[in-house]
Order: sequence, then C-alpha cells, then structure tokens
Amino acid sequence: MVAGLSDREITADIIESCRKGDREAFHALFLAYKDKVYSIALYFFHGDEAAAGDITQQVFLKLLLGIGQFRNEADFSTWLYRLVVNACMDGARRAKPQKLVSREIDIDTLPGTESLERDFARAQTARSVRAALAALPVKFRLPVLLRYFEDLSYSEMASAMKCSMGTVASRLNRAHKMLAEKLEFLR
Amino acid sequence: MNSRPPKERLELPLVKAPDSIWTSIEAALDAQIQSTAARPRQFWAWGLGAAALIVIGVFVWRAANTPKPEWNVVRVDGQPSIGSRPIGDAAKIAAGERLRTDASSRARIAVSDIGTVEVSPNTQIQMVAARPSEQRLKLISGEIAASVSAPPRLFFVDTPASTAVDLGCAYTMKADGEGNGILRVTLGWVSLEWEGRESLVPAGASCRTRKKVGPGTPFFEDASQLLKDAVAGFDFNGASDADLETVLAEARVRDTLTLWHLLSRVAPADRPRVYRRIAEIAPPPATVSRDKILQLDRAALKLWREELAWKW
Amino acid sequence: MEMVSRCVLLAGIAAATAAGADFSLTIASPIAASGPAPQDSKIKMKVSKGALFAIRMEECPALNKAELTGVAEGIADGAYVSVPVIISSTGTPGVYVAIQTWNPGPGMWVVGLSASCGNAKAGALVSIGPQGFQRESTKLLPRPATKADIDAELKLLQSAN
Repeated sequence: MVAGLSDREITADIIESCRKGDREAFHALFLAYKDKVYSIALYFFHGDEAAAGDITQQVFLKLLLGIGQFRNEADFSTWLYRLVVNACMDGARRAKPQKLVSREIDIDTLPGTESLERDFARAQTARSVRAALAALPVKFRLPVLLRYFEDLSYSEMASAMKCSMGTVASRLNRAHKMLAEKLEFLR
Repeated sequence: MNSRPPKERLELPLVKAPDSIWTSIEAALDAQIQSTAARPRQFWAWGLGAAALIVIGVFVWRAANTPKPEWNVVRVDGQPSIGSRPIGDAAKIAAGERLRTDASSRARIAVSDIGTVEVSPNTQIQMVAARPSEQRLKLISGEIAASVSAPPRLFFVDTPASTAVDLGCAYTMKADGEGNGILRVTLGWVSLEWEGRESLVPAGASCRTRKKVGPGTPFFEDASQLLKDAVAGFDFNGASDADLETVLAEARVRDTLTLWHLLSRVAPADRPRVYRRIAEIAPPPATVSRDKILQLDRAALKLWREELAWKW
Repeated sequence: MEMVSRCVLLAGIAAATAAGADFSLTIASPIAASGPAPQDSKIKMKVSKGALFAIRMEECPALNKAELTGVAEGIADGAYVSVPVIISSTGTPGVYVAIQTWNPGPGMWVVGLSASCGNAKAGALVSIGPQGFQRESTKLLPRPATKADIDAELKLLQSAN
C-alpha cells in the first residue's frame, strides 16, 4: 500500500501504475491531493460540503479516466487543477438557478479550523477573509484559491484556467484589491 | 513578468475531505468495470472455439445478472428529482447521484433487496455505494425512514455528524442543514458512530447527533422530559454535574440504557456514582465485577448491557 | 462407595428440586434477544420483524429437555380468535422469541405461554396491544397458562379499553 504520500512525492511510477489500472496507486494519488481539491471546492462553493464532495469525486473520476492523456510528472498538478477549475465552473453554472450559494454560517463552522483559530482575533480575521473570498465573483475567486492552496505560478494558473498569463495576473491583482477593500477594517 | 505572483496574507486553512468520497469513487469505478464486463467484445469471440464461447457466454450472463450499483426509486408524492431531472413515476439512482424532494414531494428507494428508505419532503440524499458488502447513502438534510432486513453492518447512513449502522432494524433519521440530527429506532438496533464514539440505540429509543461532537447518549422516548433535557445538556452543553445529577435521579429501570452509556462518557471521578445508580436499579450479573466496570472493561460492559437489555 | 453414590444422587435430587422451584420465565422486548452484534462480527443477529417479545428460561439446568409452547387468543374485528404462536429459538441457549402469526392490525391479544424444565413448570400471560408487547401487563405464572387464564386476561384487557 502506498497511501499517505504528499503531493510532492507522487512519482512517475505511481502515475504509470494508475495508467495500468492499479487501484491502490490511484488511492495514493487520491490521498495526496484530496484535501486540496476538496478545500478549493469548499471555499469556491461558499462552504457547501455536499457540493465540494461532488466536485472532488468528479475530479478524481475524470482524472482516472483520462490519466493516459498526460505525459510526465511535471504536468500533473496543472492538469489536475484544470480539472478542478472546469468542475467548479460547471458546478457554478448548474448551481446558479438553484441559488445554492451564500451559506456563510457553514463557512464559519468549517471543520479542521480549530487549531488555526486559537485566539478570538485570529478567528475573527479568518472568518472575515473567508466571507470576503466567498463574495468574490467566480473568475476572481478561482485564481486566489489556486494560488493559496497549490502555490501555482502565473503560467500554471494560466494553463489550468485556459487563459493568458496576463489575464491571470490582472485577475489576481483585482481579486487582491477587492479583498483589500472588503477587509479594510482589519488594517 | 514575475512568474510567481505575490502571496498575500490570508487565513485559508486546508479542510480534510470526508472519507466517504473515496467510497463513492470506488463505487463508480466498480460500476464502470461491471458495465465494461457486460459489453460483449466481438473480436475475442472470432478466434475462440465453441467451448470458449460457452465460457464467455456464462461470464457475460453472470456479469449481466450481477446486481448493478444502483437503487430503484419510486415517486410517492409530488415531483422528486435526481440531479436536475424529475424522476417521473420511477427511476434509478446511481452512486454519486443525489435525490431531492421539495416541500410537497416524497419518494421511496428500494435498497437493493435488503429494504426500503422512505424519503420525506424537503430532503436531500446522495447514494454512496451499492455493493454486496455495503449499501450506503448520505443524508445531506431532511428526514428518511429506513426499514432493513439484512445482516448487521450492511446498510449505512452517513450524516455530517455520524454514521447510522444498521444492525437489523427500522428507524428514522433526521438531519438539518448544519448536520445536527436525531435518530429514532422503531425496531431492532442501530449503532450511531463517529470517530470512535459509538451509541447503541434499541427500538423505542432515540439519540441526538451534533456536528463535531458525534452521537449523544441514547434515551428512551418515554423517559421523563427532565431526563431528556439533562441528557441533551450533558452531551452538548458542557457535561455539567447538575445535568448528570438530574439524569441519575430521574432514571427508571428502562433508563439504564442511558446510564450504561454514561459509564464511559462521564469523568472517571463520576463513574462510581453512575455505577452505583445502575446497580441499585439492576445489579450486574455475578460474573461482572465493579472494578471491571469502573475500568471500562469491554467484556464486562457488554455482559452487563446484555443483562440490562432484558429490562429495556 | 455406595454411600458416596447415594449422597451424589440425593444432592442431585435436591439441586433439581431447588432448580425446579426457581424455574421461571423472563419476558422482554425482542431487542433483548437480538442485541447489537460486535463491530467485527458478521453473525446475523437481526430481529425478526414478526417478533412479539423475547423469552428467557431462568434456572433451568437441563435446557435440552426444556419445552416452551404458546397460544394467542384475541378479539379482532369483534370476533374471538385463537391461534398458535411460533416460538423460535435464538443463538443463545434458553432464549427464544415469540413470532406473531396473525395479521397485524387493531385488536387485543393475549399470549399464554407454557414452559417445562424437567418436572418444573412455569408460564406467562403476555398482553399485546396495537403498539406491540405490553411489559406492564405481563404476568408471570408458576405453572403453565390455561385457557381460563388467557380468557380472563383478555376480558380484563377488554374492560380496561
């Protein structure tokens, strides 16, 4: 069993094993990336855990079905996050008529945040940031999430979002400005 | 242009993905393997003799007759939907798909051949797995009534705060959008589990669940309101001594169900009080010692619970 | 040697008499007979949907020679009905469940139980209402339940309702 690897330890061997249909290798791949994919989807969908779970499932199924398409390890995370971007955008389009959004109370009570919010001031800041992020338009929200969870470069984000590096830079810049305005009271 | 953008200071903690996602993925992969297996591949057949054809025929027949990982759903009232499509009078739900009912609709799911799940209005569920060894759904919000006739630990209902494990029974499970809920058992036993915490709930009893806390202490529906309120206070509002005292004072013979669960939930210093109260009502069997119970010896606790169950 | 044998025999008789004197039935909800299976168990321990109540024989040293029968009498749709009750053994020696043999629905029923353990006898009268087994009305008897017992209990139940 090869479970428990970090995403940096995912090797060409594991990816090759996935191509051959090795379920355990795929599980290792899933374990390495699941929390990041889930977190991006969770923040993207304003704390909707069910939607985030759906997106994570879709992404990994698509990943397995298409794993023969990509050639080397270096492309892997870009390709994975392209799937995440597509799934989030599709999900947002489908969710619009049903008004699935704006469940700030869920964002405030996300699991796994206790250790990072030991003091009240920090917790307040975190809540405000999440709320501000949730209020960003989709096209500005995604680059911020990709940046914070996967530390992607402009070029990797451009590839994942299928746009130019200039567009990425401008969206990220505008997103940061919008966040700064919304969080002005924290300064 | 700088290829790596500046990282502002933001508090965005990583959130752990639920384990049930992998279960759903595996179910979907299994489904795909089955549908591939069921599809005859003609180029194989040309090169094979009659004997091989028979073998393939048997294989294909078996694959086609293997239960598919999906459940039948019938509309009971209104217009339930699976994903974004209304189900009409009947439909099938596959792993990963969601069934929704609005305020005026209800649906009934046939969980393979082991039982049924009635889906109440304003409910959202997701099918997670339908395998011979595991039938699992997720109650996202709303209420379901399950009636299952199967070996224990085959049917599971996940909620954000716990998993209801069927031990051969009928029950209702309610969960709000936050993941808090209540289980009511009408037949047999259900085990409510969450991160190592377990509540055994028999027919006639209920158990509340709370997000991030898991299952509370079970209580019989006919217990006094004072006891029920004190149990809720003890479980989810700081486990105060006053609440524990109320539970001990209000407990009838049948409420030893609640007291037995409290043995392992109170502080070690309070455990002798709980033991004493149960022993007053129903002394432990001769083979069960006080010391073993106070040490939370699993075998001793189980023996006493089995004896107490004759009074539940 | 003969003295020793006689002592053993007398002791055996005394024990059997004592056991016979204490022989009785315990009646409980069907959940007592099923119990939750341990997490690592795949043993089938489900409660039969027709189970009315659980019965346990107390102080019966010779369970292989024990016998238990039941009959249910009731009033359904205004008519008097008498039907046998199926007594089903469980995986636990001396523990049984009574299975309903009539169509569920409104009506009042009394199940009369007759049990023996060697020469010792015991019985019980168990009332069954619309919600099932009524623990508070259950009567334990030091002898088998007779038709007269069941009729009297049924009349009592009828007058109480």
